[in-house]
Amino acid sequence: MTAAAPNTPNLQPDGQEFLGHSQCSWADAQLAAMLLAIDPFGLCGVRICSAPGPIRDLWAEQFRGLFAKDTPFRKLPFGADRDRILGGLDLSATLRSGRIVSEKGLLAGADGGVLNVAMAERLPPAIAALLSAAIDDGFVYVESNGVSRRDLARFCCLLYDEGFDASEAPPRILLERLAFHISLDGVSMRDACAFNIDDEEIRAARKRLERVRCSDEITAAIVSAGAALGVHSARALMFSIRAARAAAALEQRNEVTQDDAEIAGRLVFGPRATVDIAPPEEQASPEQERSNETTPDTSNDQGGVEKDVQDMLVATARAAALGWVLDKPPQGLRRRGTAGAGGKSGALVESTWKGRPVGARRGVPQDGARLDLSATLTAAAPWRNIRSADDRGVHLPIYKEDLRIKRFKARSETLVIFVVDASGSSAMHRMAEAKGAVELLLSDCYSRRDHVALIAFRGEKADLILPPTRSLTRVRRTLSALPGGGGTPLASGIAEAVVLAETERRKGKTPFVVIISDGRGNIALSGEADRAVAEADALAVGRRLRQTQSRVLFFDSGTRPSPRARALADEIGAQYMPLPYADSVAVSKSVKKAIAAG
Amino acid sequence: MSTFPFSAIVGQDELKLALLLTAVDANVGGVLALGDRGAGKTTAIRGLAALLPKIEVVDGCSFRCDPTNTQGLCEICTRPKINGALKSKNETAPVVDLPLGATEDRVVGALDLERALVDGEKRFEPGLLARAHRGYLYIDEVNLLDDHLVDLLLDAAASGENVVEREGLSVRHAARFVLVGSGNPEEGELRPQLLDRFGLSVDVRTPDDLQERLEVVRRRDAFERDPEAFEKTWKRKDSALRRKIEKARQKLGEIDTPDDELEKAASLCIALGADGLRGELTMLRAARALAALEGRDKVTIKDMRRVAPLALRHRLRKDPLDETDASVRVARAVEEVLAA
Repeated sequence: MTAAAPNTPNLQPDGQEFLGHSQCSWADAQLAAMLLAIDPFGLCGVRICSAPGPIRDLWAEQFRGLFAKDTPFRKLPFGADRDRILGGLDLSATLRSGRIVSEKGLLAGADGGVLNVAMAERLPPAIAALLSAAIDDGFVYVESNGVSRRDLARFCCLLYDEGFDASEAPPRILLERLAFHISLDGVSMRDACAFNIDDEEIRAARKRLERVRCSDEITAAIVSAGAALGVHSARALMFSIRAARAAAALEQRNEVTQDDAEIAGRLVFGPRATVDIAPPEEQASPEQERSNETTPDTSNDQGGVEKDVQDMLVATARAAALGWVLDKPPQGLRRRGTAGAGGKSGALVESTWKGRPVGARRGVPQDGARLDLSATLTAAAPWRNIRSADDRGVHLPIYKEDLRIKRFKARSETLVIFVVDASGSSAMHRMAEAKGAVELLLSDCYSRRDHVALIAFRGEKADLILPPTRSLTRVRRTLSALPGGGGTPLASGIAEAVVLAETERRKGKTPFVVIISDGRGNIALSGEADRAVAEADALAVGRRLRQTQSRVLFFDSGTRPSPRARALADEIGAQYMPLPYADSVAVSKSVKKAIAAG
Repeated sequence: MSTFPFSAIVGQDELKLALLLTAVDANVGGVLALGDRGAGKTTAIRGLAALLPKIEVVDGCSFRCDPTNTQGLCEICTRPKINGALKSKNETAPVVDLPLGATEDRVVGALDLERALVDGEKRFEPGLLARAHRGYLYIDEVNLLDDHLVDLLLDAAASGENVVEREGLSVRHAARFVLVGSGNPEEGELRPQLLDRFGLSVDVRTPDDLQERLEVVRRRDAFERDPEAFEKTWKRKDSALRRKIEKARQKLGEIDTPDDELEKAASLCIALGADGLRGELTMLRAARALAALEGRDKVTIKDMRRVAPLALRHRLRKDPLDETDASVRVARAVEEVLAA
């Protein structure tokens, strides 16, 4: 066991491992592809974090090469509706023939093969739930509109995630169910190369897989390494054992060894390790001792091997986890997507399935849209005599173009973005009050369905401390240890809010920004300590914030109202309120009032 | 298709207990299982489905009427000419999954489109609520479900019937089911009004004990390698449990509840500030089901102590500035009020 200072910060890099990460990333991506090809339905799939580009294309092409030519590779088109995905009523065929005609869905079409999901970060939770259920069950079951069918759907899921950060990620219900998560963003063109394996070897490994055994010691080491890394899901543990077995099969062995376990630890635990874990040495050793005591047939010798494997596993997985954290592009203004997307003031969004009804429009009753029967009949009625010539015996022939669906107006959800100054001497106080305000707002907003996010700026940059959430539990956990002090990068804080507001507006939420600051920024966007540049930057991003058309509340937390803060608030188009003591009750009250007024 | 046997689930005693109590007495109300992912919530509910005793239904009835209960028959089963010769058959009790993307028409039922288009006949096509009648309705990620759907489900679960007024249809049918919801509170919370409508709630945690975790993985692995053999190994335990449930159901009506115990349950609810009478009522029913399950004739203070956290932890009023875990608060009050 390597000695470690008890108070080392979590996921502290061991220099070498960290430096090697970028190179080893392609190797790992390649390894993940191979293991997946060996056990595609047991490992369920992989999430590929990467911007679209040649590297990703190369990986996908090489992955394709690991499968037999006739293996189905299907794409889940963006915006595919429920009927297309699960199968169901073939409406036009049904109307044409006058009896129910059903069709197989996309998932059933991918049975025995691979399902590609592009732009997975935009995947609606409802669709992710369908995929998750299919992954769990291995089949899809449709029963609606007179159709009842059950199709096999065992597939390997490739989730292409183009999201920039945690606020733009595929639904967790699906992420949890895929064994691997790889990131290709750090891979350079030089490192990317063709996989050094052919489908012949993969086929042999697939055959061998059934015979590969994983000893009790290795299993125990994997499970305890998981515990030490804060990986709690039994699914993840099963994935790591399956991955280790596939790795052994790849090496033409019938027994899982340390090396295989290491690969599994790196690929499965790496992305899953939770950052707030205690240093592993502290946590793992008592558990280890206990496990040795309670297992009668474990001799000291075996215990030693198990411990070694576990230590090594924890070390590699931690290194992988660290790389995973740092692989994400830093947050800032430059990752902004399309500019000025806030065209709609959008408090009301049209929907076909929730909210209050506002008439009917032409359309097909699927994907949750509801048939408006009377409107449909009305539409068909005038044509009755003309059409009856063709459709003898039918009282009222209804064609597809007659179908009408109900329209609804749904109130869109509000996202309150707090931008809080955590710099300087009064940081702790301001943050504590902001935290109080967030909690008060949340505990009060169940019925209104508001979400809350919190951006804190201090030192050299701004951080999204609390990604959009409605969960009080999560707020408490995230905000319990608040950092503070240092310079005042006000401009970065506003920039972060601009990005978040734009992203969330694209998702259909209505952003509402609350800034708590004295308006005295002294760190420029570049991180440079230059007051003049910092102020110019703040005004510039302030204008950008105004362009997002979000409503903004500016609480001046300085001891006296300052003209500078006032000027910035005007530039943003914000409602300005001096609030020298920034107390949580007052803040939450004003915010509530402002939202209600909007 | 094979199911992971209920008796083979390692740990999760609270969740298993809660599910068994509802299997004995559906009136205990639904179960809300909040907590870690991959801790075995889905496995437990699927295992329960295989475990439940069979139910007697009217052959050919799409609402799964109970032939022994002549009062609760559906419209078709009560028609005189059919009623004379109701054929019955045994069926497995349903455990229906409600997918997250389900729409209202799939849940409550809707106009049968085929009949409407082809024959011009207005006929009702039963939805998931009808399918779950006399069984369980399971919702994974209940906290992510649309509010209006959750309202609708809880309303049907509480009233025991489904009333449909849409697209020119007017239908009313029995829908008595136990609602089981699971979710991770980190991804969004349920409104307190909704929390209160669930009978029992369980905190699902992944086991901290290494040996226990190891056993989880070992059994899961054995199951995935050879599901049939694994099921066979556990068959006897599952059948024993099934018989226990059957016996408890018969015994339920005879369980005696002393006033003393009732009084203590009431004072516990008052001490905790749990609103309404639902907490007390659930405690009473759950304690009774527990006594029946364990083959006793009388509810004891021990039963009350065991069911109190299940019945009460989700009914405490939320104080945003008090971070004490609800389970801890209940445990504390139980020690004070229900001292054994």
